[in-house]
Amino acid sequence: MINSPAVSQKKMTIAIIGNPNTGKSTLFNHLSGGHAHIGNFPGVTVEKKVGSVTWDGRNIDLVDLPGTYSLAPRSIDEMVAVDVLLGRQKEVPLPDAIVCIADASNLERNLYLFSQILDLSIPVVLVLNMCDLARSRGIEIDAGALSQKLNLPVVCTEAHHGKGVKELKAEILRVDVGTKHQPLSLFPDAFYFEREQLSEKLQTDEEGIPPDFLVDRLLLDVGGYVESYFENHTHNGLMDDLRQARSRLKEAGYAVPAIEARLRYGWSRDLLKDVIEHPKEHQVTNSDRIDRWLTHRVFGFLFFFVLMFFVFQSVFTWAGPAMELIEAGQGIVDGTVESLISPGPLRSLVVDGVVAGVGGVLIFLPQIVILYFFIAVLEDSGYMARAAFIMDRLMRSLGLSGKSFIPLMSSFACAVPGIMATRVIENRHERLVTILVAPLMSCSARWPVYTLFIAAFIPNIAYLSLAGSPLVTLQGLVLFAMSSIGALVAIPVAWFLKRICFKGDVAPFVMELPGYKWPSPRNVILRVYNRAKSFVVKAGTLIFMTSIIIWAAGYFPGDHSEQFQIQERIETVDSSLEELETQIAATEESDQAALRELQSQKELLSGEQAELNEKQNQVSGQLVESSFLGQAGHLIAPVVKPLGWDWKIGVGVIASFPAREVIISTLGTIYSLGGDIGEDDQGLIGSIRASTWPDGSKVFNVPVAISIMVFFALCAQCAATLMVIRRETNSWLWPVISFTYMTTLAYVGAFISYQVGMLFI
Amino acid sequence: MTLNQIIKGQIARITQINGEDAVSIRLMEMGLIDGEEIQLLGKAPLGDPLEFAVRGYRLSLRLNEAKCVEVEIV
Repeated sequence: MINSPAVSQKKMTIAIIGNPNTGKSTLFNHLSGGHAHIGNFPGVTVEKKVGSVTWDGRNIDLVDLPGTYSLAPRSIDEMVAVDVLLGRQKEVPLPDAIVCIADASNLERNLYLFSQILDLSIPVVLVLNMCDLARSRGIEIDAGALSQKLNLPVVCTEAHHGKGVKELKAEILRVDVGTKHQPLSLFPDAFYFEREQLSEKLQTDEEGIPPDFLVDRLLLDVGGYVESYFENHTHNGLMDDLRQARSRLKEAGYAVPAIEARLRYGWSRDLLKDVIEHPKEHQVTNSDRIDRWLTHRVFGFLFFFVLMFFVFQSVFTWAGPAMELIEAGQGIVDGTVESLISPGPLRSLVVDGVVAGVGGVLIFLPQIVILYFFIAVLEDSGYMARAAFIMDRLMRSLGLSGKSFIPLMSSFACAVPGIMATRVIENRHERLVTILVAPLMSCSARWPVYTLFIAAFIPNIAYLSLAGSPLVTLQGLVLFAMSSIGALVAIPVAWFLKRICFKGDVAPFVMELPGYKWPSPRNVILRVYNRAKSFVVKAGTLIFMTSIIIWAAGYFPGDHSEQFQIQERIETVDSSLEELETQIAATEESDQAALRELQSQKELLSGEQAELNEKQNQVSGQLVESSFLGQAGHLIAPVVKPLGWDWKIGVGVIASFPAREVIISTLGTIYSLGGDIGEDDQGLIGSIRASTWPDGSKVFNVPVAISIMVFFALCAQCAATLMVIRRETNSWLWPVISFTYMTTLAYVGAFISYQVGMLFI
Repeated sequence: MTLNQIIKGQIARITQINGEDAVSIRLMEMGLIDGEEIQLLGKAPLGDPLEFAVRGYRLSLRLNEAKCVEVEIV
């Protein structure tokens, strides 16, 4: 063991890898103490999770790689792990050691990945996790004998209660940094001969000879990512050389890709022969018994839908009070700011820009936290794989797989956590399709818009009544139609994207169904916390900036001095009124004369207050009209005319870019009602009903209301969604595509609704 | 016969994996290799995908993926 001071000063990089469902993230959380820096690898959708720790005075970076069954990359995303392990990833130095985590209850298959890792020549520590589960299934592993056979450290752990973590840390610290191990080299000489031939041909002046491991992958992975990588980076004849090499191997009886699986599984079985004791084959486990119920033809479906309903309902109802609390908190902050800063541009910026922007970010947190809590529990317990199993057949008719169901269902509450939940989908194209259609699901932010226009324009006709209370009403039907239209449109959109844009990519559904287990609270809490944090930090900043920009567009370039004067006067009147109230309350009831005097003063002030408020609303309305936002509304007026909209609705739509529900307060401002307006405000309903075109005809009728609702059902007016898409795909391309296609759909949908609607009027 | 044709509870021995595409490579990586025994444990409520026991773990395969696996009944 080398332990000179110079060496121990150097920072160590440890890569952590393993199959999915091996408890890898639990173990990572234990090793990193729960602190991890989460980001993204550049150019891909793969999460980069690095935990920096100091053990025995030694600085160590733990790099958590995505769970995988094999190091044979089929996409740019799967290539990340290979690049990291070969030191080709610029953001992570070549690992000094690899910790490979294997499921002790399923060692034979887990050793497949391990055998590939042994070909990398980097020091490896093998972790047998879930040793308790293995024992309970009657599997006995002699870790000492395994370690001796492999000539490598082997550590048994039970990550969900932290057992064995200390021993693992000690083994990691004991690793001989800088030593090169002999690769496992299971293949026949003919294979290595072909590898050498190819290596020479692949040699370039800049990069020299590619790593052996990469050339192995090139030979073995038919149609894999490494093939296309080298095809783009080297000479033209490569594919021919490769085909010839493979056919020579086939003639020699070593046909790829089958040879690799046969050799590696053969090795793993040999290795385990005297090391592991199995119970009799085809044993029925407790997990199997649970599965017979949870995937049962009738009961399985029933349980699934009841559970989904419960999750969905919880996101809706539990988030409600928390969101109200955030709104109330925002109100208190507004009040404090108003008492500290006199009316002026600074106050407007702080209240309407900054506080509203921060509130607009925080308002999503309750839904994200609750949904992520359920997702973490479902995943940790093993049910998530069953949900995908049950829903796969249905989702496949959309060109998706069962794994898309939960993200899409969650999007009915809010697309932001829904899109974040697509991380469970490993296939890049499938994940992108799910991300692109998720915002079409009718989220809760659309409800205020529907409620407003339905209350104002859809007659309240009941079709079916039970004991005097209506069961089916026209308003209810319209609300239902509006909530379903997005999901219905999503079907052809998903189909189109899958069949036309991402053609030729068949994602295998080959999926492990892990054994059921109790979710680890620590794991669940950490995952919820990390998701919430990354939302606030990464997407939050952008959402916040968008809010400020829209505020500025609505504020400038108007002259706000009159508005501020009125505002100041209103506040003086308000406080005088309050003072009067306390005086009235303090006055003895017998003192009639004084009371009368106070009452008349109060009436006078109340009158002025009402007058000032009206004036204030009028001035605000004019200011909005003359602002950049209002000018933009006038500019797009001809474009939205075919939808039956006037410029005011146009302004509302532009202003609601940060969030759909903003249209209600914007319409409130434009119709001179002040900004604090709710969707069932009778004043707003009255004003929009009364609003007219210059020629005196009414702006709003049923087709216009439907056209606005359809637009909002299909549009991408939600900065948070677009920023989360940008964050999850790590590219601006996808939010731009989302916005463009959804706005086009929304426009076309609104156009058809209005034009067809007008035929019936 | 192919793996999609066996009935619930039946144990079959894999004789061959057909094809060299992503699906067949993934099947082999998951340990479906000639000579290995595999048992059908059940089906999803809509009859597809299927749940198998192989090498001591549980694996879900779609019908058309199971079709790539040639088997003989043990």
